[in-house]
Amino acid sequence: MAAFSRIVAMALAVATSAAAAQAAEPTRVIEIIVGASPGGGFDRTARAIERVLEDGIVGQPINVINQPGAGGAVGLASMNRHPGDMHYISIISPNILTDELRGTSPMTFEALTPIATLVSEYLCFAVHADSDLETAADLVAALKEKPEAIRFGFATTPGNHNHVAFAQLAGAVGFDVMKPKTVIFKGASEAVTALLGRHIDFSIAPAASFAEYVRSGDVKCLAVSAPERLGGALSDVPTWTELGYDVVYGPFRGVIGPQGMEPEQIAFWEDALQKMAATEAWKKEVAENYWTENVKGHDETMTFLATERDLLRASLTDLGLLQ
Amino acid sequence: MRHVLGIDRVVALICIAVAGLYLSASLGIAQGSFGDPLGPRAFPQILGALLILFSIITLVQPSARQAPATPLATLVAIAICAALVLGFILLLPVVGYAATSFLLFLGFLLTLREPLRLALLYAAGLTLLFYVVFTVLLQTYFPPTMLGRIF
Amino acid sequence: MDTIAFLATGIATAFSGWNFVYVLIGAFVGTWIGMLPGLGPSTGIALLLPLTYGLDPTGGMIMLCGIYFGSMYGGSISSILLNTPGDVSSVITMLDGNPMARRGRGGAALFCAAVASFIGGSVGLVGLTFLAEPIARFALRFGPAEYFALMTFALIATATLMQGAAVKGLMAIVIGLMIATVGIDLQSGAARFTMNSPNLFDGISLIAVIIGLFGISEVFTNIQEIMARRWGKVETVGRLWMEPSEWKRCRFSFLRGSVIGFMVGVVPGAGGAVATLLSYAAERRSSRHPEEFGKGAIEGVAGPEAANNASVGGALIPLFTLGLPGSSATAILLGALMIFGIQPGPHLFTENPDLVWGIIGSLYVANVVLVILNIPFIGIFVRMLMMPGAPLNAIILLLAVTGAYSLNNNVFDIQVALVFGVIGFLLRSAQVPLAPLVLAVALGGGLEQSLRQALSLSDGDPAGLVPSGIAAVFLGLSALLVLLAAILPATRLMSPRNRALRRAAKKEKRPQTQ
Repeated sequence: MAAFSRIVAMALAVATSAAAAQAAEPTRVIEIIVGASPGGGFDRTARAIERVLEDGIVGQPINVINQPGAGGAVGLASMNRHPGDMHYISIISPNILTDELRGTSPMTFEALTPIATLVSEYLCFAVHADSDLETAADLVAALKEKPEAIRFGFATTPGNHNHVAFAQLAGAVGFDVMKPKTVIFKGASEAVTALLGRHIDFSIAPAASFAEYVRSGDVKCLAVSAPERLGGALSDVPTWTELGYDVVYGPFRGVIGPQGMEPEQIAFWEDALQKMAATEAWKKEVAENYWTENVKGHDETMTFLATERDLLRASLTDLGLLQ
Repeated sequence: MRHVLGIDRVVALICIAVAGLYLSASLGIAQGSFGDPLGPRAFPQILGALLILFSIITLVQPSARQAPATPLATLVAIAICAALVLGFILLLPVVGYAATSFLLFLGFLLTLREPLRLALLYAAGLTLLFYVVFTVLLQTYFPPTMLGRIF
Repeated sequence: MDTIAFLATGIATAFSGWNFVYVLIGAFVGTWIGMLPGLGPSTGIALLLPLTYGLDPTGGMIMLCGIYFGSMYGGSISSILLNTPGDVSSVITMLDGNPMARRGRGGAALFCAAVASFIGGSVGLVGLTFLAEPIARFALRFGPAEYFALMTFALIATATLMQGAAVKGLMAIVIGLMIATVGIDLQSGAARFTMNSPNLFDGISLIAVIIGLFGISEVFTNIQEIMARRWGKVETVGRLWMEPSEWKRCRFSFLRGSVIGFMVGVVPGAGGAVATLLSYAAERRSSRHPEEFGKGAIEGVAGPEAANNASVGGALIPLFTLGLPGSSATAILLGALMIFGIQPGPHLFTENPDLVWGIIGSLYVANVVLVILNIPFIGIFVRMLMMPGAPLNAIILLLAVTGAYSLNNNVFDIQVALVFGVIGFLLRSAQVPLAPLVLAVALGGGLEQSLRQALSLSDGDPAGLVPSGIAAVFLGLSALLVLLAAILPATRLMSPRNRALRRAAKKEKRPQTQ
């Protein structure tokens, strides 16, 4: 059924791509397919892009379509049913690499057309405000001396960016990442609830998840895994690099297109996205979400994704998630 | 077979078969790598075993009052309707929402032996209603079909 | 008092400018959406979210809240009249509401649901208004062990939904729990029963299951009736009012349900399903006519409906005070807030008081509007039942199919619904009860995962399951319920009346065996 539609679609695409070779501009509605439900991280990125791009950078209307499932894989598969069509793009994160490595998705980034990387979202390593662990040094000491006593909880899947960051911390500090008691929650809210209720001692999540609670004094962010200090409520939080540990990691967000896109089409999007990244409106979105700019074009992104994949392979092996 | 065994026992047998498949699939579940003492396999295995147990009890001692057996004509009608829904699923990406809902309405009404003209009338009216409500009012997203974006 | 002043401002906001119109539109549209099988509050809000994109945050949230309450009421309508619940919370209403409709008391059931929703909603909102601050922190005491205890208690309470053979009810629960295990396991990341289909990674969608088990299988069952020429149009809907005797039976149910619903709503993650379930169990236990439950006991509608609406007020407490959603519908509201550019968190009340109190005020208004709007409309809704069987079921079928699709914009969910339609039909023929099955699907994931989380945190020590009073209470109650269920039938068997009956039956049999 799906195969049948795909074959017909590809036949049509081949027939029309000859005509499309010269076209490097969208001629009708553009759809950003988001592999997540409204309100989550992917969705916010997509809507930020939609808002800024629609404001004069791209001549056509843009729709954001939500097709959640399988951490984004369902949305990507859906987008990929329009090969060579520049009117469909989607948002990617390390999920696409993790899924490939763990074998949960047949899709690889090489099979699609990565267009650009936009931002990275760095992670906050947090404890309850009344915790005995008052500084990052306390945390490191506790992890080195008695890792089994630490209750670590995070969202949303084993092997995701939060977990990988923990593995990297383990490597840098020198404790066995499998020793602390590890529980996984269904969503960021559940993880925050558990931390606030002191059912876990320590959590890792993108800075935006904790920022409001740091501001209200309920949560203490001990360190961030960013290359430089973050702003806003987290400007007093040191980076791991400052503290002497080489832990710089955060999930990237980028834009991807279906397979078989022509170089002119890629160039159009690259250009549009870079224009977008330079606008005030975009910079405001970045600041509000505690993102960090990390703009890369198509070629740089391809290399970047390959290195990220190697990095992830190592971390996932440490976590025992790769056979 | 149904008339001899009674629907209770048929369903019990089906459940045993399903539980068997479920349990054998559960053997293939990878064990977690970190400290969850129960693991991802324990719960499914307990459940599969329980289902087999309860099914055997039902097999041995079905309820005293069984629902009367469904006549064959009805089962055929139900099967046709299920097939119509399947057809809807297959055709939706090909010819779009309006066409498939019309066909579903028409097929359903004809299967229930409504006169042809009345069925056509109902089908047309209802298709229009549904199309307007879902596509225009609720802005439900339907992927563009082979025939273009009209439907 | 400060709070009352804020509330007054909030209600004023609800009436200012376009906001009142938004409430009306939201409540009205929400009711119609809620009536569609499988579309309840969470899906309704998600579906209608695009309508609010152009609005300012306050206006948008006000419309969404109108949709929230409206769709809850709409869900009750389709449960009672069509036996097709809008979402998990309306499943319970269906158990006694639909039998009432089939006996010609549909109008009374709808009226009772409307009144119960109003009372429950009001209690919940009053709780939200005055108890938000003190209660907020209470919800945080629910960690994995406490959740496990609560879910266990709720699951055991589903036993009260069962009619007929106990073993079939148990089968239903086990099947439901098995369905809940499909997907990528949360704690380990292992794929369970996903058969390499990415659509199954997140598990089998609960709403698709509900649409199939209740919507599509209902159509199949109705085909049986139509073809056997047994499709009786419901001749009369009865008066759209409750008899004095019915009022008398329900008066405490309204209150009981409201309190239970509100308290359950406050616990993040325990939503309408647990609230309505526990209310139904409480009603059954405290009723003088427990044998009527499942056949049209009006308390079985009054309690759960009140609980459902009261849980909204409860669920909004963690959302507004901590930024943590209390239920799946509030989770979508959270997403909506973020789309509007508002960051929910502990500061929401203090930094955006206009927004928060505007929403609370408009919920009060929506609550009243719904009762006023819907009571006259009950007659119209009920006339739907008078439609000839074939087109009515055609409509239900396509509603089910389209509803399933619109969950995730994915045809896979239609396949799931169809499969469960067939399964539902089979199970119905074998008299396996479907309500416990669905509730087991809803609760199963949380039950298993919180058990394993709790055991992880305690290193496998079972004592880790009872780290606090809360957990002990719920586990203790569960054990009590199980004991009662096991002992009571035995004691009943031994009662003098039953012994005499058995002796009489034996005497009767003897002449026949010769």
